[in-house]
Amino acid sequence: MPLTKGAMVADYRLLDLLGEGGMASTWLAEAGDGRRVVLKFPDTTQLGDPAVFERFRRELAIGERLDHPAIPKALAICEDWHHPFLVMDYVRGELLSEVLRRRGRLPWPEAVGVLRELLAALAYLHAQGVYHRDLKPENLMLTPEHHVKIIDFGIALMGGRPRVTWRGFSGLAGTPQYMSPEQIRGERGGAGSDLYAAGAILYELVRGQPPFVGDNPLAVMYQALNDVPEPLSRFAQLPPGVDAVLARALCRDKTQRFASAAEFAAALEAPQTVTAPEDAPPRRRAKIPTLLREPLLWLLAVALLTAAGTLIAIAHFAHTP
Amino acid sequence: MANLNATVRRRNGEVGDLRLEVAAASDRGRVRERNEDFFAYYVPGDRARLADYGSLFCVADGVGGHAAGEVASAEAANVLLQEYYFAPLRHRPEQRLRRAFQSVAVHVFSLGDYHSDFHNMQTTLTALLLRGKRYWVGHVGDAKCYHVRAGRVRQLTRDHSLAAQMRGLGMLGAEEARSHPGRHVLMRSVGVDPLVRPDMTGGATQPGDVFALVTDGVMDYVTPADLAGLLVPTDLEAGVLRAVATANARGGGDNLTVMAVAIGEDAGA
Repeated sequence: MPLTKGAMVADYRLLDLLGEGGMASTWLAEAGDGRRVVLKFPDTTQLGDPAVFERFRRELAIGERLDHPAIPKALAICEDWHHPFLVMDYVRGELLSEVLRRRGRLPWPEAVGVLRELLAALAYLHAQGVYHRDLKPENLMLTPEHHVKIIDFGIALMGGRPRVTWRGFSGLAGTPQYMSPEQIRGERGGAGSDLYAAGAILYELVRGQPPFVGDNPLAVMYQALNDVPEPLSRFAQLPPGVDAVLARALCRDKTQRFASAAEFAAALEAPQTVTAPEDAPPRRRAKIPTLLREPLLWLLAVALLTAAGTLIAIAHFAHTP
Repeated sequence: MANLNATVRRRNGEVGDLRLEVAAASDRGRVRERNEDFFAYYVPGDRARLADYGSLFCVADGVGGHAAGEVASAEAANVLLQEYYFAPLRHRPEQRLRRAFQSVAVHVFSLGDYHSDFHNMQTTLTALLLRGKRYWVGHVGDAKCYHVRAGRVRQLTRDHSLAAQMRGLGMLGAEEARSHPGRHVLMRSVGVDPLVRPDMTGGATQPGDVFALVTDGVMDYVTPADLAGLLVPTDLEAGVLRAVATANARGGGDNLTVMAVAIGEDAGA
């Protein structure tokens, strides 16, 4: 059953689509008593999977257990409709992704303020044995009071082997721009990958783009496994030591990253005390074959291709009745 | 085997001058609520049609909510057979098979577009065509076609999964790819678009060859070498049943389908 604005879903009226991924969609809705809530619906391709309902149950159980200002509550699972959906606390604010879209990037002090709150929430989560695994600007909300809320725990509780097509990938294993190298290689991800994602978010807040960008997710993942990001100091005036902080946070070797959210947060307060990881790989440059660096050879190649194309066209039309 | 809920079919026939035997088994596994796999095949009874068009075998693994996955896989398999055998004779076999895939893509996409219950349904589709002493394989998705000859097993299809693509780019090793969550992420499937680009491959057949079309759920629990050992031409039906039962016993986390086709000795007069 397609979901549309204004539609009634059990006792809730849908107001606005907040987000749509390959695994689930989230809607702002109004309860019968006028209270605003967020409804989370599994993607139709997941409805044949009994693990879907189990994930909702676990998300609810986790949501009931957690008690932190940065983490909205999961309120209930509604089973009185065509398929189950999750009812969650509504948080007023703007998605961090929208903030970035609107403003481009943030000054260093403001970016640090966002990270400080995110890292405090992560410290709490990790102490509870919960790992998010899919942190990204789309899953973070900035309230009007500039507080950070983590609004989606979709894959924090993943189990089983859901069957997805490419559009569902980010719901299965993370979002390539913020995935740690070990997640890209297939590991489940834990505290270290959450801290990597936090580092990628900080990088994007300051530079206006994630550490690695590409035409497609595979290109992004390839870079994350084989390359290092450009130092942030090339793009903004930053306090001494910030490059070392980001190098540590985004180190491909997870043993060289910050050991905890608290350590990362402390590094942000005193970046000049941080040393870059010892085995940070040198930035690679794409190797272009020597032959193709010569401009004259490029001109010759273009000329030959043009001539070949012309000959083929002539031959085709000569034989066409 | 006690909990096996399998569908089995078996047929003896002739492919050109060769005998063939086909057996297939399909089971929903131990976790999924429904079986969204489907298999189908056609061996023409008319010798002239057999000589002109050959025999076509296919498996499909559907993706979709509610019953959409079952619809996608069944529609894909049946429409493939229909479109192939109704194609003009002037087209070469590979061309007919490719065009049949294209017709399937349009059909499944349109169904999903038209019926809200089937919205976004998709399926894999892997087909084996035997004609004369040649074979062709058309493929989209992550089901597999194996070729067993003289004890050696070769995968004829390339998985259209994220893990396989990452492995091809050198981002994952073989062992990492086998357990990577991206092994269940389809990069190419039938139904997502009205256009599809199937991989095509082919070769010559020999007496004693065994071909196996297998959905990916089986290969999470059974190795190609295991499969080759199970699919003995002299008892193909038992082999496919054992393959499915083995996968179930080792976890059965997905739907399980194995179709095996064995090329026998010359049929003679």
